[in-house]
Amino acid sequence: MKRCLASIIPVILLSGCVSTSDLTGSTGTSNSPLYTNLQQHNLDGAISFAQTESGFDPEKKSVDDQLWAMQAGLLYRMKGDFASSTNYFDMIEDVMYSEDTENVLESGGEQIGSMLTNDTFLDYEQTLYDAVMVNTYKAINFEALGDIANARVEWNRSDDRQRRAAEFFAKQINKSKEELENQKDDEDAEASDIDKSVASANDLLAQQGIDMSGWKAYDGYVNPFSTFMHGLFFLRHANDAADIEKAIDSFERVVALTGSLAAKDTLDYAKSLRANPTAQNDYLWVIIENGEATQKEAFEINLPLYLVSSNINYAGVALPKLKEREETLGVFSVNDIQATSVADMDRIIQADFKDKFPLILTREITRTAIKTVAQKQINDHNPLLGLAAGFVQGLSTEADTRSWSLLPKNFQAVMLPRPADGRVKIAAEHLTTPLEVELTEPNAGVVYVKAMNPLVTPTIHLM
Amino acid sequence: MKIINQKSCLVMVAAALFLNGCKSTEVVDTRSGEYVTAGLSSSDFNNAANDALNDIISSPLLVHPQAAQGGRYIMAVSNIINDTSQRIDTDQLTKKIRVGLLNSGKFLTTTAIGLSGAEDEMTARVRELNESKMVNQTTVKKDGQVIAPDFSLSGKIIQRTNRLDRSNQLVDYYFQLTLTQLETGLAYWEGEYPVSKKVSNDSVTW
Repeated sequence: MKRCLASIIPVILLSGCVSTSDLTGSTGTSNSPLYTNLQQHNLDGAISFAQTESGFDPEKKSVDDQLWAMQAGLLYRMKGDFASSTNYFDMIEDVMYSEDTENVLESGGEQIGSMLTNDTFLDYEQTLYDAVMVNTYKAINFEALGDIANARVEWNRSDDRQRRAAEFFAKQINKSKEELENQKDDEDAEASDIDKSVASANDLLAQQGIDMSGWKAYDGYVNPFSTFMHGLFFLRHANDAADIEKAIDSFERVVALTGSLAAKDTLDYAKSLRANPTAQNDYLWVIIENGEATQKEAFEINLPLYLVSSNINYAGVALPKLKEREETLGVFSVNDIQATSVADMDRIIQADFKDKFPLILTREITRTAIKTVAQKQINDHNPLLGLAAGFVQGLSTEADTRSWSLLPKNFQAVMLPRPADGRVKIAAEHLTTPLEVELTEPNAGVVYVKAMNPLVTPTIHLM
Repeated sequence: MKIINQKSCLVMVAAALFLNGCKSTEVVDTRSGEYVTAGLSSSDFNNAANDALNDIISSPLLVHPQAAQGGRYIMAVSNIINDTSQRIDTDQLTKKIRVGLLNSGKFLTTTAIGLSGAEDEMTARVRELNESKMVNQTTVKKDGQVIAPDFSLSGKIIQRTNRLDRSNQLVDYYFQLTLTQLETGLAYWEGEYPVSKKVSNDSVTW
């Protein structure tokens, strides 16, 4: 049986060498088509690229690749085409639902496939912060379109996503434990051998300078940006006192988590509306999506594999790690008032990665063990085939570095009295020319800026 | 023999799948309680509307003083806020109540006056014909004939979702409705109709 399995594995490996897409080189690197287009100020080109990668089917109104659909949704937002952006995010929610409710057979099949190859063969599984951001972007899209009723629905969804956060992580930790137990039972390698390898890996990771001990989620796994914008919506579009209380709750939470001055000022203002829950048009909020979120990148290390024969073999494993991107624009100011951070997206991403890494590591070690045992057995039987299997093993060793690369590094905000001349000047330490905004719409209370880096033109929208 | 059995089994499974796949469309009875959705379904709207209707009809405060002579209160539909996580058309609720009230003979609903404009703009548009040479002027509707509403129907649909146990969540919906007497601004009638559903915790409820 083992021999049979060993002979089947290389066939599967060879036939399955195409992962979901060439993701390692196209989402986050500066020379990817996405970024080349953005740096050439060709937003339509970037959208077209993301749309193709997402596998958008206009007839079925569906997408194949969730990650690229999220990129497309965010690019449409940058363009100011909020309806198209929402269409993409709606399609993503359908995919998310399918992923959440995927049955055991489908999930099991994917897992087996990935065991013989690598994690890029698994469907992209949305992170909690992805899901929260999808609903957050939809909510502010609807708000920008003046569709307050649907914006309210999306804020309720975003709120529910945040509520599920703690449960999600608790469930994930349990799931990881169960998966580890199952893998230990299933594999040819002895349970203790995998444990020994994992223990060795932790030491080797420390030697590589990978230290995740300082990474900590916001309390309750909250994304304070989403909470801040939730509060701002219910403040600006309050129907009754209950809405103002919702806004106050949100701002109190953001102040507790971040200490942001913009959040404190807005909290005070919200409290002043308790007597009369109708926000006047006296104030203006400037929200800045600043920089580029931390990215995953691959690295390989040689790990000792304690295999069944108790012979110590070294094998290469490919793992993802996070690489923080530089703060290229710095702190923003609006009409000379310094902005304060209402959320650090990097921190949210790091905390999520830290929780998932033990499972990624164990899965990669288990996978390498299976492949190495198979390769050894094939080699014993036929050295030529063994050579081929070794080649395939090398090819199929790849880390999953997929992530929503267009998210910002952090979110900054300023609350200021509405300027009498309707002019707003937004500057940043490393922004060559300050952004000049004229408040042409009398009801606009929010200026929303996305500024990625000095090479990509910032986008500005009013709502 | 073993191979034949396996083949037979495969044929049977395929046939079962095929037959099962043929039954693609069917009419279901949503009142049977057999089909429970995490979101609000037509039976939820029906039940809430029917309960509200019965309460309004039986309220002693909402009897027109000339009811016996055919007197009717006029109701305008105000704002029904959808405070759930589902995209729903709040007309699903108000339409059923309006139909029921009309049939009960207690209320008429104005379509000429609404919070964000008239539901049916024709009442105003036909009055623009008063200078038309084409139209017989004796048939043009006169100004000062449209009847102002006595009551306003407003409300809110609220959703609260909480985890019940490891695999289930409890979704509570509240249909909250108010009839405000527009002369005094007093709420003459209020009703709240909760619906609770136990659903899987695998994913979100929308």
